[in-house]
Amino acid sequence: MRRAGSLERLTHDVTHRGVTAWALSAVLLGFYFGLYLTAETKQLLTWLGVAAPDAPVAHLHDLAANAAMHLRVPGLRAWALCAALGAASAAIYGYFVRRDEGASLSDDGRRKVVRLGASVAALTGGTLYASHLFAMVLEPAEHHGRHLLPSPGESWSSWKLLAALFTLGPAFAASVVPVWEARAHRAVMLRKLSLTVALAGAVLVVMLYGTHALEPAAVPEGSRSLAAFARRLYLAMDSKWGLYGLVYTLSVTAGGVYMLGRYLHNRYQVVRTLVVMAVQCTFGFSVPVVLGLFRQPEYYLSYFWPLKIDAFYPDNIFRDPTPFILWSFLGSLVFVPIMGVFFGKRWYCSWVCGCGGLANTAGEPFRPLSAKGESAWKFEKASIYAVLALAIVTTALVVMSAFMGPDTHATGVWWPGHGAVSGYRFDPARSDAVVTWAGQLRYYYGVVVVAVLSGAIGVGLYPLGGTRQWCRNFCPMAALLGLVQKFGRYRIRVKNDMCISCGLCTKACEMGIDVRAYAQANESFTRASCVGCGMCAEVCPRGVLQLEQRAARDPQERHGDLVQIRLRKGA
Amino acid sequence: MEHRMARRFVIIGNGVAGITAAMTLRERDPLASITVIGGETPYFFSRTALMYAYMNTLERRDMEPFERKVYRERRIDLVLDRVTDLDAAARTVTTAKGATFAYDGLLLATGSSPRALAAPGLDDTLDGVVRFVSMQDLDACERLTPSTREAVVVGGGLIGIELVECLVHHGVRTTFLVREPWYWPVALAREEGVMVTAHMRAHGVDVRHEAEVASVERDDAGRVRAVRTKGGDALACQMLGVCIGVEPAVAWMRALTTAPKIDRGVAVDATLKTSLDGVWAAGDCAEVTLDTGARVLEPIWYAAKRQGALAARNMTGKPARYAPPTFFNSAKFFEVEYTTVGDLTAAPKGAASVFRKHRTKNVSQRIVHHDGKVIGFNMLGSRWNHTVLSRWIDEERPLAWCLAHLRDAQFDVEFGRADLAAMREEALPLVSSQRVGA
Repeated sequence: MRRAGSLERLTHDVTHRGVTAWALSAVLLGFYFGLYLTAETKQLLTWLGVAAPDAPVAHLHDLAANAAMHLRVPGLRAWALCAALGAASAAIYGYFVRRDEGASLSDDGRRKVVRLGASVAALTGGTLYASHLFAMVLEPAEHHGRHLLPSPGESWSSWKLLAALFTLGPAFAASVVPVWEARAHRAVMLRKLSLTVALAGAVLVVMLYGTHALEPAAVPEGSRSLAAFARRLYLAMDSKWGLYGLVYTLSVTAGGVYMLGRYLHNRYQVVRTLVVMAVQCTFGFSVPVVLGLFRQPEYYLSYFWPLKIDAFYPDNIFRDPTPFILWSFLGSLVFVPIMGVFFGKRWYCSWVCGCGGLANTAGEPFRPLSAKGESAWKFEKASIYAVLALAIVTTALVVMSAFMGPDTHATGVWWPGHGAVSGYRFDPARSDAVVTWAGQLRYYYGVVVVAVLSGAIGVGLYPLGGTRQWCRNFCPMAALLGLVQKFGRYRIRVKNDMCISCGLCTKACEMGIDVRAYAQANESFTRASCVGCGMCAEVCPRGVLQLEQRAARDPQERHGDLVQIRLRKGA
Repeated sequence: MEHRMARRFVIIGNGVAGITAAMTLRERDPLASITVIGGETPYFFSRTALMYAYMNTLERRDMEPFERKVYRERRIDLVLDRVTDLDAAARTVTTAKGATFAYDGLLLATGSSPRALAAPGLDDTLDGVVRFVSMQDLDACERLTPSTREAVVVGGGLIGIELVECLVHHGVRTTFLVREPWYWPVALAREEGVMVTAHMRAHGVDVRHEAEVASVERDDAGRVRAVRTKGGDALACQMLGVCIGVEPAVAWMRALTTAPKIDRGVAVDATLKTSLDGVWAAGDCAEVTLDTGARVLEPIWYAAKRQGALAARNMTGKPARYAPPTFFNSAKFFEVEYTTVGDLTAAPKGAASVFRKHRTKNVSQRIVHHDGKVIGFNMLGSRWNHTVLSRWIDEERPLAWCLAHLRDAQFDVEFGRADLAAMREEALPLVSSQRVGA
């Protein structure tokens, strides 16, 4: 309805579940399947008839020339899968629409159901093709399940890499200063900020690409090969995970700048976004890469058990240096819960965590898409605690199996950078039941929870269901912190009688909390899922909401004059 | 075992007063049948969200404060229809579709309707003239926006500035005609009004004060083409927003078989009961005679909610009397938030105010006092806990004490409290002399 330009129409389409949103989702899902589960994806796609078996891609021009061979017309199985998923989604959606509208489906409702079924079928097909493409490009057939490039050795000019990586830190620091200096003048601040970031980015690119390209020894023979191309692209990082980390960090940084520009008037948002960006640049990116340079295990200091489930796996404990093990244990068992009691889960979920970091920066435009209904809340409660239980059982079994242990060392480590998931094969000759269960559970937890739910679904569905799918429905750490939060001091305070029920808070909640239901009932509240992003308080046109750590219940707090209509949903 | 017929409650109007009443009725009487008849939308929506739907921040469904199943679960029957007749003797209402509902208790919660603008040429204009209070108005605005480059909004209150903000959001060049010398003098003193006007102008709005519509011109298709002001300016526009206030929607009631007593609104006593037996009224349409003898119309969201709940309570049990607490209200003018506490329109003669303004930001505080006691606050640009401020007024705190404790009432986001030390105080004349009657 707005007299919009084509770019605006596109943006609207992407953020309102239009055609573009479905297409973008298919690409993102495909990317994550190709990235995380290369071997499994290829196996599945070959079975479905979407990919040709044993089709190595040695050269980029191979891919172009033999597109027909690599991207086949889908087989019957692929069509059946798309149709089945489409039909199932339509049926489920139809049930909810009917329940919501009352008795029978209106014409409009029927159209919606059909459109959803068709969209899901298209999404499935698109995802299949995209994941095939990404699996080929990210990990060519001859390097199944292995690192594409050799580990950094003598031939890599480590000092250049080191210097280049650390430009991110100073660039970040340099961009913070003008924010504070010029925050009263939004335009000036934005200009300074974008200049600094652009400059730092240019330095980074020059240092990485420049030094690399000028170093002929670093490019292997047959420089037209995909490997050589990828090697240049991967910027002297040891695997596709290095590239992924870089893209992720740049997304968080760029999204963060967008956030700062948009919410400059809100100090909470500014501080929070700066912290999220800083954590991602350092703990989420520079620190692990630098650790690698010093031949230390790739270690992410900002992730704790149970989100980082392998932190408690014995093979890691035996492998990692003592300070890391101490950090893991103290962090997971002492530091995180105590902070949770005082500050709720927000200090972690929306200030530190990389998943939340991406959601609250690059994912910001998709924020309002989260499902708000009571059924979504019911699903969330069931699924998130199920995953938490699974995480605890898996960890316990794996720890036990280490002591019963035949060769647990061979079970491999599942975490980005180790890439051993496809390398892991359980040895059936070992008949010990615990070891069998531990190994399988560990493998399937890695595939289903870590790769599919946190990676593919978590980010791939941003354009369709909002940014916190993983955090809200599956993250075991969020489940644990949520329980702590319920008994802690954090809450959202509601100003009495001032709510006008406009619904902006509910719309803005990425966790799908119906904030309005509490606000219009004058009820200050703590919800286990609330990550404390502060956006409900930001958008409220009447300033009704405030995040707070209450020291003690304020005795002067009065109840509202209005008769409270308790519409707090569910239990 | 005593057998008792379930009571039948009928509510006319599914706005906030009506729905609050329905929910409260259900809480107090689990067995009663509750029917809400409204002609605007099938489900209750939040009128305050109209502007956000217009700006595409919300979708239509997001404007509904309750999930639809809530009405089913609470057995509240929503009827999309308009009531055309009321027979208090037979205790029935009749609708436009011909249905008849019998009631044991009836609540009139029909809200208000926009005040009409009298200007030559307006009645003959077939299209392009909009109000901004109903869902149908939103439909009209959305239909007209793509073919609108320039718009004129007539008003000078909250709905006017909301419509202006929406139009600006859509890239429409907007002229805002305000009859008064500064924006919204019924609530804001000159300094604040000037601040808001400057803020609107910074957003590109052409704000014209002491300007009124002289006539409206239309094109061949009957759509508005230009507005001529009394100052003689001709303003080309494809949309004309008329937002000059609302009045109780009671005109239709005068023709009823048995009409309740109507003055400006439906006359009710302090228990919200009308002149008819078994009939109550609440919300914008009710004119309440308080125990103090004052007769009040309160066309604001909070009052409608409060009255709806009280009416429901009185319909089901021992009547309580309506006594509004210390007045408060809030608004947002583009980005500038506004909180007011204390009824400043009724400020006694001799009241004075302390006014402080931030050097650079649109942040200001006005504290009105009389006889050394604080009687009201007008706060712009930062967030305040009106509950604390109301308490101070009720406790008749001295000005100096309030100034010293002002921090305790701040409600801004973390790290974002307005810096009270950066506020600059300005000596000002009496506040009451600056006000223009409602």
